[in-house]
This record gives sequence, C-alpha cells and structure tokens, in this order.
Amino acid sequence: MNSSLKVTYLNNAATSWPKPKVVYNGIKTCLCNPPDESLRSNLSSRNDDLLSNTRSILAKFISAPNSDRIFFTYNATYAINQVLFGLDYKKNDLVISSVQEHNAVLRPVLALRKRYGVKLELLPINEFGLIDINKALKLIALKPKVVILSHASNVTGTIQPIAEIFKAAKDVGAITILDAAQTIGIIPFDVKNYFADAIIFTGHKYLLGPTGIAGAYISDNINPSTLLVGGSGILSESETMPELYPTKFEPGTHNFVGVAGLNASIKWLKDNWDPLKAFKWYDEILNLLRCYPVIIINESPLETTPVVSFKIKDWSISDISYILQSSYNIICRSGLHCAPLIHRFLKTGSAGCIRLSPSQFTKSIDIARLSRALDKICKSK
Amino acid sequence: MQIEIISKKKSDDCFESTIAYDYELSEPWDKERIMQFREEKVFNYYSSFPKPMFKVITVSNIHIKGLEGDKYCRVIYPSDTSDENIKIIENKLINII
Repeated sequence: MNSSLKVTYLNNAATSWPKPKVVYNGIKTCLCNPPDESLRSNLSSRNDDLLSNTRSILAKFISAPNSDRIFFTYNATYAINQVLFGLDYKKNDLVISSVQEHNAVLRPVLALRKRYGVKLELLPINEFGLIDINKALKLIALKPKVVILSHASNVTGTIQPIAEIFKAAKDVGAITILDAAQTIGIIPFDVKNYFADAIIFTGHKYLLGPTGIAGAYISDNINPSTLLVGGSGILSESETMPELYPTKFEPGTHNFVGVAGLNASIKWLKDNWDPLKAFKWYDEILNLLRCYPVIIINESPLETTPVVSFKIKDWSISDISYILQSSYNIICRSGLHCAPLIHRFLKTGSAGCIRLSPSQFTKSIDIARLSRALDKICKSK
Repeated sequence: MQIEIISKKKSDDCFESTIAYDYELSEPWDKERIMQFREEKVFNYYSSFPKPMFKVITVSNIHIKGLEGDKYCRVIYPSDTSDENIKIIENKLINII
C-alpha cells in the first residue's frame, strides 16, 4: 500500500470499514471494565448483561421472536458448521445448495457428502446470478433433508428468492438454513419472511461490528446437537453440555470484546441505518465503470446488495487489483472470492473478477480516486 | 550495498493453482533493477501510474509485479513450482544473477 495516500475502502462485502465511532468506544469500554457476564460473575443480572442485551437488540433488529435462540460464534463459517453438522443424516439423504455459494457453505456441504454419503445437488444460476427456481422446486419435490442457501452471493450480490424456495422446502418437511452474512444490515431483514429454520449472521460486514463475532438464529423447529463441548458457566456438575439455549452452542469464554462492538454497532444502526447511501455509491460506481472498456459481471435488473464485480479488457484481474491497492490505496477484493463454482456460470473463469463494495461511509472523494485510477489503467494499454 | 529480502509472506491473492508471496526488500525498486527483467518472456512497464508499475512473466510462468520506488513486490508461483525455481526468482529479486 502507498502510505502517502489516504485509503479508499471499497471492500465492505468482506469486512466493513470504517465502523461507527461508538463501536471503537464500545470495545474500549469493554476492555477497560471488568468482564460483564451474569453466568460467571455477579456484576449484572441475567437480563441486562452484555450478552443478553446484545442478543435482545439483535433479535429486534432482525425481528426474531426469541432472543435466546440466537447464539454467538467467532465467524459465520463456524455457525454454519455448528448448524449443519449438528443435524442427523442418513446415507442418501438429499441436501440442496447452490453454485453461488461461498466456501463457508460449499465446503461444509461437500464435507457432509463425504462424511455421511448424502446426495448433494447444487442449484444452477442464470446470467444475472439468480438461482433457477424451477430446478429448485423440482428438486425440493424429492423431499430433501436440508436446503441451505445464501441470501445473496458475495460476487453478484443478487438477492435470491429465498421465501419461495424455503416455503416449498418447509412444505415437504426439509430443514432450511439461510446464510444471511451478505444481507443482514444492508437490506431490511425480518426472519419471519424467509421460512428459515436457521439464519446465519456475521457482525463484521454490514452490521458494522468487529471481526470475530457472528452466530445464528435457530427457530423452534430444529434442535441441532452441539459440536463443541466445554465450560458453560452453569450446571458445572453435569458431564454434558446443558441443553439450555443459547448456552448449548457457546462453550468456553465468550468473545466479550466482539460482542461489545456488535452491541454498539446495532444500537447505532437502530438510529442511523441508511443503506440507501451505500446503494447511491453503488450506482455511482456502476455509472463510472460504464465509461470504460469494462465488463461488468453483475449488472442486472434484479435486486442486489451494493457490490459491483467487473473485469477490464486486456488486463489481468490480479494486475488491476495490485495497481488499485498498491498505487492508489483503493482496497478492493479480487479473484474467486472464495466462491469457486459461481465463476463457471458467470464465465469469469479461473481468474475471477474485481469486486468493489461501498458502504454508507463511502465518500465522493473515494469515487473520484477510483475514477482517476480507472482512467490511468484503461489508458495504459 | 547488498539487497536483502526483509520479509516474505503469503498474499491473500485468491487465484486457482497459484501461490502468491509478497516480498519486502531492503531497498526500493529502481529502474535499473526493474529493467533486468527485460529479457524475460513478458515484460511490461507502465509509467503512467503515481509509481510506475512493472509486470514480468518468466518462462516458468512465474509472475512478478511491483512499483518503482517501492520496497515491495508480489510473486505469483504456479503451485507446482520447485524450491529451486523459487530460489532463482528470489535471487533475481535481490539482483544476484
């Protein structure tokens, strides 16, 4: 990175930055005070400690009916593994996912196939990144054990018709798991709209919290087994993890610092949530790219998250990324974005694409810097 | 003064079948050292950026890129690159030919 230039950060679909100032303050306050957990200390009551309060405000933010069904993990991948591998499988059970998936979903379902001999079907997508709904409904008629999908691809941003697919899946008794890491915090989100038995969230993307804090909301319909066991702060004489939610999924010491940051960010979002700003910058980036010999991968008439993926004629993805980051301090993401299968459908091959993802904190100077960089890159060959 | 490799760390470049390293060198790249790569299979020098960028592809399909005036460079090795070939490239980075 060129240390003499200010950073233009367009990688919010990976990790949002900057965070609201209250997040930095919340983390500092957490570190500067004694740990606040009712289960293992007497500093606060059961209902107003940091963990309970954070579950409660997050539940309100996503309209979840029961905050005790939210458990925290260290990242979304961990939460997906906990839910997916906490279920029972028989050989030849059908598991449905899709080609748009990030490896956070893809590798676990591939591991399920290897470990339990389940049949795995990956739904195709069209040129706009939209899952083939007809194919989905046909496969769901075969009564799958599990349907697990991302709400939006981290490459195309395309919002998937989750309600339609999961409603059909629930009608045949399937367990439905929604990876909402790319959507919670950037589009209005109500858990009741999706017919999902488990919803995965992460704190460090559009919820504007720190890294290291994520988790899942589990509906009353399912009760996965716990994968990890250990200290729980309650029922210490028991040889097994307590069945109590959310304790059963949270062995060991919590990431209090991460929870404190998430607590602050959700409170901030409650009064300051303005995703339209991010979409304004998304539109500006799209308009800018249209001025150059650029192939926009995910330009579509469909609802998306604010991510723009593209290639530049005659330039390798790796080189564009290197120039943007090293010469112009423009932080973006390039390559396969840990979603290897989607590139076969988007015809982006083994090199992938460049992704720019603004946030509500993006500024016009950032777009001006991007414009200067693209101008130079496109005129250099 | 002998140029040294100060650090070598894996880059998070997420491309198939390659291993990328970011090298930090004891001296910034100057034009003379960059031009030593002119005989490689592909050599590009882009002077229009705030710091001119060079991009090299060797006969072994190893990619080297960096900026003039910067102490850093990125080398992308095909995943089957031998240790011997890695050593040859690292010697080139510190100008031992």
